[in-house]
Amino acid sequence: MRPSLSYLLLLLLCPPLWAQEIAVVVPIKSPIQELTTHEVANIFLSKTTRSDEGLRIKTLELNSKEYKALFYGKISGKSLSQLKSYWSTIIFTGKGMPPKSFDNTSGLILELKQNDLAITYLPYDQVDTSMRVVYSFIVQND
Amino acid sequence: MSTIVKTISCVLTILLYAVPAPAISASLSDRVSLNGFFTFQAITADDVGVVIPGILGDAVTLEKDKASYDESLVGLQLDANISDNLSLILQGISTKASEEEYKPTMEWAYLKYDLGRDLFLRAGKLKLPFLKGTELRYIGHTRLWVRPLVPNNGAGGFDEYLGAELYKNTSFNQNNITLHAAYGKSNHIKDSIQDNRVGLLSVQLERDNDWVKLALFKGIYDIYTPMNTLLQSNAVMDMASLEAKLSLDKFIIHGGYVNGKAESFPDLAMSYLSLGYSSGQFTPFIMYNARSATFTPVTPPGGGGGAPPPGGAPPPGGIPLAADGTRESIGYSLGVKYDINESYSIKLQRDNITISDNTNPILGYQEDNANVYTLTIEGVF
Repeated sequence: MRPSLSYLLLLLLCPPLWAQEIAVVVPIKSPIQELTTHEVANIFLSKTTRSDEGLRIKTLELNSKEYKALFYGKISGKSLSQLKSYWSTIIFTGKGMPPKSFDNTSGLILELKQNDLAITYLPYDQVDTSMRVVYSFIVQND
Repeated sequence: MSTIVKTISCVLTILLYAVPAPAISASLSDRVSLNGFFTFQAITADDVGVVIPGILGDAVTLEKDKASYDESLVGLQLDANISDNLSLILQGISTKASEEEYKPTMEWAYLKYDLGRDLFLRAGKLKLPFLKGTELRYIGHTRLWVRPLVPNNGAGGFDEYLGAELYKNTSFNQNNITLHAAYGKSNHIKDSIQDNRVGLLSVQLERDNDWVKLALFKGIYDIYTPMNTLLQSNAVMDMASLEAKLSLDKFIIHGGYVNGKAESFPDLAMSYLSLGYSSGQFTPFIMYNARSATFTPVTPPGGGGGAPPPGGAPPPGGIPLAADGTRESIGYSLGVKYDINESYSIKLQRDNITISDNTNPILGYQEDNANVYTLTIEGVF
């Protein structure tokens, strides 16, 4: 087989580009209405711990490397390794704690609905009417 | 070098069989969490009596071709939320005190109060946040190198303190700014420095993975002779530091400069510059660091004061307690950090260290050069 033909076949066999939208959500009763990328990063990296009203925000996330890599890569430019190093710095100087981690989406959503000051990020297709999207972005993978 | 080979074999065996999947911190409840860290370190040198600043101590003396494991440690931190605003933080480490004994110490123990608007008050036993490495010297996983660039004396011999600290996080044009103000009483690493009051102001500007930090430190202290006679009261030490980290694509640059002026104590200067290249799990790096302590003669009370003229006898009653001159250490390092996963890493580093000293009037100028080899396995859990 000629090399050029094999490259062509390889390209044809490659999966198409796919896009995924990730939404940062809060319960519908939350005082948080809308956030910028910088504000989302500050909340999830424990630099901002309270809402404008002075209420403590509770960050939640799914224990998924895939979503963490997509989310933190977008909001802060940090890889998973850089993120772990960042949290080590923050935790061991007593400056904050990472978001509460959940092993499954149902537990995460249940906790979100029980706390008006909770915030998390989810694939857009899992957002329901009890939540408000305060920030979203599209990730394209090839 | 056979020691290093044996150590590497031993470490790799441990890693293959014992290192679990990335561990996460343990949340004992919604209010209490426990986090830990460890460092296993083997160091050897190709010269006799090489002295380097270690993780734990002011100086580690190495024997030729014999590995030292004394810098290994394990630590735990407990964070307990007492109320919505108040939390208690305790951090302890255990180090090897002797062949068979381990020595636990409490490094941090304080209450933290959230005043709102990202302003926090901490009070208790704290570390002076003079340099990035001062607060994180035991958590090797947070740095590229095998050991902190600063000796354990932190700011001119002042490391931890009993006192209070205010810090505030704020934002400006997509940049995060952290302001620190600390004040308290500190134990100096030398017993002759007593009744110390320390204060510190710092500002850090951060954007994504990059940051720059400026810190100003002032220490006021009394100096005693070895016979516990007061030599000088309210002596003053002023220090300033500037550090930065910059990421350019896959390149990571760290740099820092420290300068300190002190009464009846050596003036201190330190600088470092490192360049790393992040290539997947591997980050090779090169580094330069230099430290110097410039001594000026100290005379006991009633002394004629001042140093003897060059080549001359000291003035009557004015025998200097410390010599005149500079002690300097310059190091060039080459190393690599390998991230096993997000929580564990292995580092190998070779340092070429030159130490020069002209503070001894009898021995005159002395210079020594040695290579130091270090293998480290570090992690957080």
